Amino acid sequence: MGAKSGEVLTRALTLISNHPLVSDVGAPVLCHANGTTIVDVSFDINLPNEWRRRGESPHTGVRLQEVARIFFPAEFPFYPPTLSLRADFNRNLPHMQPWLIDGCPVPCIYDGDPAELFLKEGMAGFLNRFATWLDRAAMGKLIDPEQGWEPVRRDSLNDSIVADAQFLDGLVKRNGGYRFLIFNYVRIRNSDGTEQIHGHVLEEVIKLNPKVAASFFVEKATNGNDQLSWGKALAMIVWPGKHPSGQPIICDTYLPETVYNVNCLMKRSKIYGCANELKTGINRLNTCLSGYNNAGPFAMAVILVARRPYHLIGNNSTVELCPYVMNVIVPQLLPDGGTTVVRPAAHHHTMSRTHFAQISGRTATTSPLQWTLIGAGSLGSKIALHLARTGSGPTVVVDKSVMSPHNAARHALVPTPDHLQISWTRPKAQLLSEALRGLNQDSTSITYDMIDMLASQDTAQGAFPKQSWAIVNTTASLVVREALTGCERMRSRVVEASLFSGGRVGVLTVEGPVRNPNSADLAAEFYALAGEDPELTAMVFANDDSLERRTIGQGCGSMTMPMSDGRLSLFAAGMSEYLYAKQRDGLPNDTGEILIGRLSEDGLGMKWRHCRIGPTTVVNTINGEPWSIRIHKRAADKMNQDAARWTDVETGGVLIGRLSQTARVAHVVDVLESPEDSFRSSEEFILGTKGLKPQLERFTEHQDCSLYCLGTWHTHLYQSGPSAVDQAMACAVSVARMIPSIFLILDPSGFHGFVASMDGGVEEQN
Amino acid sequence: MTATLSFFPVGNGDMTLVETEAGHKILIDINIRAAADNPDDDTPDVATMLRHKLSRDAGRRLYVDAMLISHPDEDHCRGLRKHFHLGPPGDWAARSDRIFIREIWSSPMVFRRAARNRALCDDAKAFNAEARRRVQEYRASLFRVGDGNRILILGEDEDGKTDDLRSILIHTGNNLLRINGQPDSSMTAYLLAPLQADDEDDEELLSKNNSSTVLRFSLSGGGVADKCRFLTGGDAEVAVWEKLSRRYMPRLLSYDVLLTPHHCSWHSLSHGSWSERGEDAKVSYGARRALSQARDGATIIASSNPIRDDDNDPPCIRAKREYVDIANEVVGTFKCVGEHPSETSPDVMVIEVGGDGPRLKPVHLAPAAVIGPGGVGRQPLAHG
Repeated sequence: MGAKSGEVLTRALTLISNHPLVSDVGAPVLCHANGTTIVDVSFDINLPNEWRRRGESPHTGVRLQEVARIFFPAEFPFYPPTLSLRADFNRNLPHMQPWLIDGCPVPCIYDGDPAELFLKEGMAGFLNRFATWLDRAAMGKLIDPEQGWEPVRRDSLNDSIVADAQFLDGLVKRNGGYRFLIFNYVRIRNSDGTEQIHGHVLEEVIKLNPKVAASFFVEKATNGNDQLSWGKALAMIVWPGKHPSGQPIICDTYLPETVYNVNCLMKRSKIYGCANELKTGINRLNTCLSGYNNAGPFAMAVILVARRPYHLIGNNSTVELCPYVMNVIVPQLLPDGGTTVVRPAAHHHTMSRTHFAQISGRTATTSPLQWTLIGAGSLGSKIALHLARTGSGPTVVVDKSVMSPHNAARHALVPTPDHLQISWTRPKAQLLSEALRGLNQDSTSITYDMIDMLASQDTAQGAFPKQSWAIVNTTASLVVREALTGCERMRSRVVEASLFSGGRVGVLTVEGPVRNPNSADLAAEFYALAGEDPELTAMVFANDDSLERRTIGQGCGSMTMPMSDGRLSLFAAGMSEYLYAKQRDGLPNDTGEILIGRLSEDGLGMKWRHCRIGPTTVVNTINGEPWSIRIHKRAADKMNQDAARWTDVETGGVLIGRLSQTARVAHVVDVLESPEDSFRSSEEFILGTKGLKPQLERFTEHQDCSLYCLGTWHTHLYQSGPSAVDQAMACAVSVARMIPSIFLILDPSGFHGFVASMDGGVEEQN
Repeated sequence: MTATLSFFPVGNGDMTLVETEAGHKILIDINIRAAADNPDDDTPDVATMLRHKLSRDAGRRLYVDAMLISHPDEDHCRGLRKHFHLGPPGDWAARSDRIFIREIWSSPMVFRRAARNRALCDDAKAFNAEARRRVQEYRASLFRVGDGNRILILGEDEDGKTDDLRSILIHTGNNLLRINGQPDSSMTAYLLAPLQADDEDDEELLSKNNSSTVLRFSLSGGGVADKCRFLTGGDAEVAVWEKLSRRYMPRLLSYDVLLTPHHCSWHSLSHGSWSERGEDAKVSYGARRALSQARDGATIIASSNPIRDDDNDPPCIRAKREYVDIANEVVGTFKCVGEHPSETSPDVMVIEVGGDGPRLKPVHLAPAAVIGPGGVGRQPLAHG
């Protein structure tokens, strides 16, 4: 030990001797073989007064004073100290390591890497945790019923099985029993003669009979590697039944894992109350295998179930799974009878929605949340996988495009190195669905064109199930937006995610209840909101066309928005968190929503602005003509306020918004104040012109024509249709403008609309 | 909730908080020195320690359900005016945020005896004045008073002044069963003293022996009654304990936790002077008998400065030895609050009362020690 580590050790010993519960520190002893310094430390245990004469805890045998041995490795403090208790310390306690040090039990004082604990909390934290452990052990409170039963520690075992605990839990009934399941495994032979088994218990119960029994046992060496074999065998789960009184057999005794052969396994099953079931299961398997030719060895898993008095930590179930692996042969099954080696195995959860939800800190819904992702590109794939990793990936993925090598720069999926990357060039929807299946979440991939798909009722129903939580559109496609907005039979609300300005701005729009406001309303509303913020206006409406055609091969190019994968992921992560929260809490129940995210100047973070958007007022067509006018709340409020101001005369102004030629919808987003030279009287309103033209030009210029003049509005003091003057004026305007013009009349009964188109026709709506 | 006894590190003085399983909090004595209120001083900030253990009522007032001053010496009532609200409940102000005393337990006899031999300190006078205010309030409101006006008189006085206070008078030799007007099935407190004097000489003797209120609590633990008996007697000295030994059956003096009287003073165990007679001073049979009714595993606590092997008294090393002997007879322990968990950084000593009786709550290394010369500090763990 060097001078430096010696100094650290001296400090540690000083700290130990100053601990309030330490009554004595023995002389350090250096073990020359490995450089470890060993110190015996006496801890005072504050037993209740009633136990002091006995000198120990009546529940656990922990004494008034306990001597622990602390081992400081040669590499201390880089490696943390370890602990052992006296050799006859009660091992039948929870939070006890499965191994011994020199025959002495080892407490588990930290559920994690002890080296990290040591660097986190130092020697003082190490001592405090051990003192707490001793105190709880003395009081019989190492298991807190409210926190739950701690399963026997298995995380350091060499062999492991992967199994869906929830599925196995479902097999356990009130009456004792056993079931056989398929067990796929890999056997790794180490150079020192030892071996490891890692297997997966499939969620498939086998009905065993003599005709097929041997077919379940297969093992093959891997090509070119005799140290690795793949195999298939059986796993047997065995559970306890009930007492004659009808009460289920519960094991409230905590035992460390000490099973090493079949005889021990039998004893352990007796403690758990499932000895008869284990014997019956083994006999059944023996019977089924008799008569077959010699074969083996094969790895078989046995899972004993212990019913505990209360739920396991982090779990609602009282069922503790205790898995083991052993080598069996055909037809005898147990090559050495009762002394056949049995190895305790660690249990790992299968990849499942429930498990992912738990790891993500949320509770999984009982059934998968139905939702559709449209667009399996870079943004969509990241959102899909983020949510799948919380247990709620999309159940339908729609994308017509095919993966191209350049997509690998930002797509969430990663190409495999084989097959000359040709397998990468498959439909994105299919590849993403396969990745989701890898996360044990089924999803349907649809590679139709969106317009074609919506035209067909059958395919549309498949893509947008009625019970869908939402449709998430990440295509950033105006065509898709128009198609989705126009599809009236689709009831699910659409969430649209898109990026602007080279990944400096991200936008999420969420349709309102009964799809009002819809995605097109929200897009127009976003343009208006962006226009209110000069900085955002500059980024979103700058005419530098941040979408560029990038070369992806000789003679091949793709329209894309250059940005790094990291920047795109920043937005995808934030958007996923929003969707994650809405999956849990529900979409806004009274409005739509727009979220505008902006990258910070240093590119490290972002800030999101939330805007609640109320429903639009839809002016229906009286004469059956297909144009509809959707008046946004901002515009409606301004017109109503102006009308309330001028109650004795007609008033009016200019309508701002945008038109959808495909859907034949006019979005009235805003109104401009009428010019000062406007004329108001009880018979008519004449719109002035002073300053109007530059105002409209500024509007158009700054917002890159996303919003523009739609037409005009004015009030009528009494309920009436369009006057002859109104109709004449509309005809005149329609001749002068290339696009349809909107005219709104607000009278005491509400809004009435006219659409004047190039052909000179006038359509009235209200 | 778990019943606890908390002994605050107040040097040679007393400050004990009794929390019953039903949740009532009874404060017995305070000694909040000016240095304890000075953030730059190392004296333990017991006022803050106490406040952390109290709850606020609907009016955002920190409160104790009951407060007893065992006798009016300064080391048992210091800091009262500064830290506690005195006067009508309506005068309590959020800005000063003083602790609200729902009910006062007061013994006029103890105060009268103390005043016979010496002038009362200002905090003692203030407590006495508050007690008188509450008695007046009680009389004026026809015996119906609320929080902040309640009072219990412990021990009938000899001059008949307490005769009209029957419903708030606890006669010596009787149990207190209610706290702040509420029954508390998880506690009884037996009033052992003040005892009435047999004659004028006896009165003089009791007065000179720091007559104090002596209570023997019986607390439930783990839902089981009488799991912890706690004997506390202020500064009562040898003559008082001899008289108690003669007056009461041993079982009424038995305890699981004893707060040694007068901060481990030899004067509670002997008529002789430790500083003058040293080891020749004899232990009083009667006083020792009264103070040695320890139950199995009992904990004996000295609320004092660290105890040295010197001529000092209190705390007195000879008294400590006697108490250690008493504890050893029942496989119990002796603890000094001023040495807990260490002399350099004393902290609140907490006894928890569970289903298996009382036990000293373990104390770990304090954060200050963690960043001390022997530690390597702490740092947060991140996820990667």
